Amino acid sequence: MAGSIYAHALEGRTPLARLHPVTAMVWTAAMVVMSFASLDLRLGLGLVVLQIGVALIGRLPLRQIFVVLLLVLPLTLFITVIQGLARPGEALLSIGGLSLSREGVLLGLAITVRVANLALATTNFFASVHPVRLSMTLTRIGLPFKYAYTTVLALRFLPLVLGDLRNIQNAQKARGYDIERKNLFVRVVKIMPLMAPLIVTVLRRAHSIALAMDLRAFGAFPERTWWEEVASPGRADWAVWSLSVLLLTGYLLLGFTL
Amino acid sequence: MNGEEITGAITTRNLSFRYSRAPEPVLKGIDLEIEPGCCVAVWGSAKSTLLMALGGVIPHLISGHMEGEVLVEGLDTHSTPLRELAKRVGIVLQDPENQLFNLTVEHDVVFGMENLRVPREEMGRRLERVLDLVGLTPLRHRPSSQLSGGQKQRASIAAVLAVEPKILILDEPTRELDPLGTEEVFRVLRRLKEDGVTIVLVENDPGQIAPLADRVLFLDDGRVSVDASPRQFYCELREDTRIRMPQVTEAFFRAPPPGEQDVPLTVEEGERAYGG
Amino acid sequence: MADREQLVDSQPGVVDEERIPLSKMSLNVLPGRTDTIGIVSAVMLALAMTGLLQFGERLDTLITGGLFPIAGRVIAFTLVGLGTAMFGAVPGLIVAWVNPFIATATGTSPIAPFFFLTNGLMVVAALLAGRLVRKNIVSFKYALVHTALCAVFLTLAYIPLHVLYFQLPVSQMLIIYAVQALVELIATPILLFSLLRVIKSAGFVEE
Repeated sequence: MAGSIYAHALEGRTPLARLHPVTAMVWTAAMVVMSFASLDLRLGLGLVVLQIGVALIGRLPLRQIFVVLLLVLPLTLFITVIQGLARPGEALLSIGGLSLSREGVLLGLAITVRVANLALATTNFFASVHPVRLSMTLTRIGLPFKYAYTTVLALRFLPLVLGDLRNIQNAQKARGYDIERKNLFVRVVKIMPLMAPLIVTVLRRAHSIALAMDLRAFGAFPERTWWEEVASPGRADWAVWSLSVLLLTGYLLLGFTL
Repeated sequence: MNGEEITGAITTRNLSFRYSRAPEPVLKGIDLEIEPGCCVAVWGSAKSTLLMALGGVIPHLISGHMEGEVLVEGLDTHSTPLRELAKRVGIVLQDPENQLFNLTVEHDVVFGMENLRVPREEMGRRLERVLDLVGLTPLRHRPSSQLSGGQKQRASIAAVLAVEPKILILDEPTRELDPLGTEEVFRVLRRLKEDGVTIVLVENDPGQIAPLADRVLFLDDGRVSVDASPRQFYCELREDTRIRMPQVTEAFFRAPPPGEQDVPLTVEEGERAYGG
Repeated sequence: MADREQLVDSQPGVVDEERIPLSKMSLNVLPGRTDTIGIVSAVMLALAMTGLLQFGERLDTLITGGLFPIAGRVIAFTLVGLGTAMFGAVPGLIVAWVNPFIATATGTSPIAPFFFLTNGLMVVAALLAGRLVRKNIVSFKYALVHTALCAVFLTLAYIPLHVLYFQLPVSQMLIIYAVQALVELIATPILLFSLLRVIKSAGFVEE
């Protein structure tokens, strides 16, 4: 796991936490649309700089964010190579009998930047919006609480399930079965000795958890009260909304003209 | 019974229960009166099933054939919705991990209150009270996953107590815990007993049960064969190898000291019995 | 009302052997089992999927940089197919969508938002497969039909992603799609069917 980006939001120390979660959603949506909108490398890089700036203002964990970006590397390297091979044009680089065209490589880089912007947008979002306040907001905009709550449940029990998997892996290793050492393709099917016990374990856990939740009146009433508070949108929120719309419009216009 | 008398009381009348696919009932014709503020420990077979019936889990969440009735504070568990029972009975289960489903201790404690639509100001007051009661105030904002087993069970107890039930049912709460964790949990239970909370529990550690329980029940073949104070309980069942008793009590039966001495349940009592 | 069965006091105080009825595909598939057990089980299956995908991920990153996830899709097809078969449409969607949510919220997979669409299609595939198979969900036929539908839907869904977003040349992609589909059609039905049988014999199936 790259790291728990959301853990930062949990601590609530970022100034961005003062914004209403819907504001964060609107901003992020704008960023995501922008990342899709253009393949111009300059615009894309400009957006990257903007998003890193947001992370800095929000005191978000930059190192973790860069780790996330690094995860993007294998993907984008692969794409760049494919583009370089596939697109015609003057050769930038020649390896063996294959040559990578300049156009292809630039296109690959533009796509890399596109993916980086997507990653930055979502990471910034989850590093600043508290998961409980997120589920509250989802409920308020219409998703029934019992479904909105699955986000919290998932984050809470993820480490446990990963631990269960590790235990099963160790138990199987002790029996001489080690998935790490098997042939790559055979590995896919041979995942059964891990999959089956994990599923059974996890379903039993689910029963236990569901019982405890029912005993604490989960779903007892259609509405509920909240301990967490989400302040109504204030001036900062309106400012961010306006900025999102302006940036998006500007970006799209520039994208068309460049 | 008038209103005051039934708060914190559970009554069963001819309670029988058979699981859907089982040929035999596991509970047969059980009559129990549990007074408010009483602490009852349960031993024997089908004890978890009895606890689930006392708390209303049977029949609401577990299917089977139930006969007779269980009255929780005068309310029939058959006809009362679970959310009404949840306000009166809190249930703590054995696995510390699966009873905390939120991201921090605080969120777990308020969860039940939120579901039952307790107003926010009231939540704050109760949150502080129960955290103080279980001794977890400094860990309020800690992610649940970072707690020790004993702390987790205490957090679960706090979460259950936040809705202010007068009755607490615990099904082997210290089974997954080390001795330190066990002691932490029982310290909380002793405090709750002082506060007048009715406690029904299944617990394997006789050393902890003996000083806490007012009554000990033994379930044999679906019926209550013994219902007595701890001292009488161990006296009556001292020949029964299924019973585990405090070490000091066992020692007392094996090598009784001279003279008429009360059966000791704790080390202190043992010292008095032997030391004089 | 939830429908749990059998707390077995096999040893003093031990509570185990819980049974989750498999919702038969012929009834109550839409919306499926939306009580607490259905929802929580679906979340847990999604987390199991997340864990298992870690294995697949290393494989896929090695081969194609994560762009053409073969092992990942096999695992996803299997688990979404299982979740939908066991609990119906809404829990199936929970299994399908919790995983990209987690991947994004923990920063594990930057292109995770795409998986909301692709995983959602797997639920549709599972529901259709269930319809075609009717009574017997625990069957190789269900597993095979589900996989075939998943392979078709996902290949179609990935075309706009690859062509428009990643600007990849379609003609070359067809070979890769074919390889993916082949591996998926072999591996997934085996895994899914085996899992359904294990679940049944572990007592999680309603007779």
